[in-house]
Amino acid sequence: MAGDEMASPSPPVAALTNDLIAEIFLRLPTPEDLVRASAACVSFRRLVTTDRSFLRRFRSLHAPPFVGFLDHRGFHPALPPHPSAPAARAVADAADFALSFLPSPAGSWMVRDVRGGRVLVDRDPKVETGGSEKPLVFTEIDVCDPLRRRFLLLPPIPNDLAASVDRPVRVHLDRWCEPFLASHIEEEEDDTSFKVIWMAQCKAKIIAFVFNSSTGQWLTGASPSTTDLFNGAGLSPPPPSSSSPSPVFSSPGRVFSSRRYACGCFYWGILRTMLLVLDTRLMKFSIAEPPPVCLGGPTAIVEAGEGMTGIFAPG
Amino acid sequence: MATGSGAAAAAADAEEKESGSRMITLTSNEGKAFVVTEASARQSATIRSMVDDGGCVDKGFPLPNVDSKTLARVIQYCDEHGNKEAHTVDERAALAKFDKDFIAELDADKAFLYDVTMAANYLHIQGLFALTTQCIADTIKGKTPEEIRTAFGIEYDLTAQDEEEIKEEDTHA
Repeated sequence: MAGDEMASPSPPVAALTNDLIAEIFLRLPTPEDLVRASAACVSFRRLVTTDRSFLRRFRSLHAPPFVGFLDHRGFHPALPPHPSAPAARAVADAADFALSFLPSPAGSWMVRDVRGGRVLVDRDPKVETGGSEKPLVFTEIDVCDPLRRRFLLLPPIPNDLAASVDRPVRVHLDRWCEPFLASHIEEEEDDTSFKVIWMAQCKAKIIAFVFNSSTGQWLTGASPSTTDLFNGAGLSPPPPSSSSPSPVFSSPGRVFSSRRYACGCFYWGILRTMLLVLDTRLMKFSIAEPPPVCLGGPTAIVEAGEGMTGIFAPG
Repeated sequence: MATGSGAAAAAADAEEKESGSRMITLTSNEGKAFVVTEASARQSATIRSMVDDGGCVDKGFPLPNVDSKTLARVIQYCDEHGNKEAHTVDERAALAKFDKDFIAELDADKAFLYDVTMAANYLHIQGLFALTTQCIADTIKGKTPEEIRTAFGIEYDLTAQDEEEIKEEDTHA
């Protein structure tokens, strides 16, 4: 590598090792640049198409652009002057957000969660025979991709698991359960697999089941008693059968609301004073107390970079 | 920087101050010696850890992977970042201007840019490594595969199967 005074106009980049090329590629601004670079030569191509740890690093540094929100009322694309507005319009044209590719009847499915390009929808399993009696605890769950018009109908939760669900509370419109997509687990090699967590808030405990698309099975996730959760956080548990229960448990509906996600954990607010935390890597629930400045008002849980979680509270 | 408290922090500060005034000799693979301040040498995490591990500061550090021309340029960067303060807005702006001019000059000589990149990697000089790798990435940005080959002096070596796969990917995109 001695300095060559007779440098040609395009000296070969081959002097750089694959590790260095990887570092350079990580600094490319867009995935399109990476795709074009990968078509330049064999060594670039091998790096981009076969080095999974490189691809994971590239993806974690290049988050997909925000194109819009999808909820039970449909798709709400990003509008000008948002930089993603043209992409959002293209996505809206290309994808089927009416979900007409799902099993009929049309409009029977409700969007419950969206993550990583996948949409989780559910419906009354007896929709074709007049509908179930309320409460609707065990729904028919489907994970779909509106862009590719593909879907996977999840099997029902097995009876032995379902038997442990005792009088759950209503959590959303006419739903007494909360199914959601777990984030993609970084260490996993297979990008096409996903996990669904099914959760219900029962009188004395929280119940969570986990569906893994690579095994096609539902398994028990966690079912901590609410008393244990509060004890574990050093908080006094509510009296079990008091006529004047603590404010937390006098609430007639759900206790844990507004699910949010950051850095491998889901968070639910508890009357804006505490947070229920689900660490998806350990499938473990816990209770956290946010800093006093975050109490009372609306907050957002954010990824603060370098694996740290932050709370954003407008002051 | 030091997060310790009281006497320990004060001692560490004093030591840093004292060590900052020491001079360190770096020797290129051609045997040419470069004398630099410790503050400048500490821009390199590799040298920093050797100094902190009680390496023989007096004898200097031979750098068998770096030639004289490259080392001189690397030291130019380290001097600027190690010997100058970057506390005020003006000081930081001056440093940013230095980086801009420094990399613009390197970018004009790609073979030399690669040499400096490899030296920055070998010596673990984070700021310099970020600067040079970003500069090379900017060269790739927005270019077609053919333009990238030209810019980097790469031979076309894709197999028929590669071409087939690339075509396949294009139709999916």
